[in-house]
This record gives sequence, structure tokens and C-alpha cells, in this order.
Amino acid sequence: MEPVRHFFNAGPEDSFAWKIVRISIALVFLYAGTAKVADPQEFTLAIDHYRLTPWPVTVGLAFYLPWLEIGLGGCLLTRRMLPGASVLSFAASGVFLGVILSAWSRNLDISCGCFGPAINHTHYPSHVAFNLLLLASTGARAGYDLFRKSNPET
Amino acid sequence: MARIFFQLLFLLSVPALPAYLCALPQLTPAPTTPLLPGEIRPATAKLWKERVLWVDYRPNPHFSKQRIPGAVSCPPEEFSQRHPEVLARWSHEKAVVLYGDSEAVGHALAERFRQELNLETVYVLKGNWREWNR
Repeated sequence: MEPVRHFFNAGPEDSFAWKIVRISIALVFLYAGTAKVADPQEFTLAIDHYRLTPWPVTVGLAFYLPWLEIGLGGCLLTRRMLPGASVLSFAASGVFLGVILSAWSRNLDISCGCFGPAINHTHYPSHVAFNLLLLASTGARAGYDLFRKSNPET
Repeated sequence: MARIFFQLLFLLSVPALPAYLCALPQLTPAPTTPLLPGEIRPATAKLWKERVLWVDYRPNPHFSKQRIPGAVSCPPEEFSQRHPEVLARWSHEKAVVLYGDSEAVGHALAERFRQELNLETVYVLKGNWREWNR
């Protein structure tokens, strides 16, 4: 059982500042996931408007991504599988930013879909700024979780 | 590194289960009803992409709340005030696809587009707004 316990282990306690960063990221992911999970049809359309994926992939992503976000948010909030969740949230933030930039470069008039029906139309500069902030926080948090001395991996 | 790799694998694969369970009842194919003349299915209209001018004939509050991106609002009771905007957005390579809450209203409005605006490629979305959102 020890390897399993080690796998799901809650990470070491954070300093106050890192705790704020972790909880903020967790809440963003939890909110984004729960806002979309109830209405996959709406999210399917939102992804489809980016015109990046074929329809079957779009439908699959619409069902899958909200649960991934909820899972990441839950792990970050409870400090379970923290290095993995941090790295994955960083990667997801990078993908989200890339997708928004791609839509902006093509001047698409879309609803971003990031927070379900809460935001109906995308104001690109503020969206990119928010995603950059999210990318910076998740990147910093991932670096912290991967390389801090108390991490048994390092 | 192995632990992180397996955590990533676990975090990426576990959401597939609830996603699959949610998708299962919603992805069962609905029985298809035949198209009437002048109707088009959402899947076909989606394939046309930019070659569609979407016209939303639902009441304005519904349009303001949610719509197909790029759609123009033209409720039947405001046809005379709104049709110039439709014509301004229309071009020869585009088909006009009307959607709203009632196909009967859509067909009547489509007929006005054909008769009064001389537009030939005018369709009513099969299943309307509800079908689009399915």
C-alpha cells in the first residue's frame, strides 16, 4: 500500500503566498469545470466556433475538458498528486492561451466557452491578459512543486 | 520523474470515465424526421461554414442573451426595419438560414425573404434553435 499512498500523497505544507497561488488556481479550474459540465452542448458549440478540431473530437473534448478541470482543481485544492496536477494545469493554461490567440489572430467573433454561459462574448485583450496571468501562476506553481527541496522527487 | 509521469497519466485518464458516462445518454442518435422543402439540417449548415448568413427570428431578448455567432436578428414583426441589415450582410455566395423557436414562423418568414427581397437560397433550420443546441 505504501507506493499507492505515496502516489496520492498530500504534498508538504506551503508558505502563505504559495498557498494563495495554489488555491486561486484551484478555484479558477473548479469554477471553469463546474460552469461547463452541466451544459456540454453549449460547450461543444463554443469549441466548434474555434474551427480547430473536427466535429467528433469537438464533442469528445466538450465532455472531457470540464471533468479534467474539476479533477485538476480538486487535486490542487486538496494537495493530492500536486506535482502532476501543477504541471498539467500549466500545460492546460498554455493550450487555452494558444487557442485564444489563434482565434484572435483569425478575428473570430466567438464566445470563448472558458466559463460556460457566464461569458457570452470574448473581449480578446482581457482574455489574453487573464490567460497570461493564469499561465504565469500555474508555471510558477509547477516550478515550485517540481523543484522544491522538500519534494521527495528532487 | 516516474511518479509525476504516472500522476499525469492518472489525471488525464480518470476524467474520461465521468465524461463517457455523461456522454452516453446524450449521444444516442435521435430518430430523424424527413426534411420539408426549404429546410436544412444543422449538420449540413455547419458544413457550409462562412457560406451561411444566419438570421435569428426569435424575440430580441432571446437573441441578445444567446445566438449563433455572426447571426442577424430579424423577428417577423420587425421585418421592414431589420431586413436592410440582412441585405447588407448577405452576398451572392451565401445561403440565408433562418432559425428560431417555431418552424412554421420560419417558413412564413422564409417566404417573405424570397418574395420581398428576391433571395433564392433561403432555408429554415430543421428543429430550430433547440436542435442547434442539442
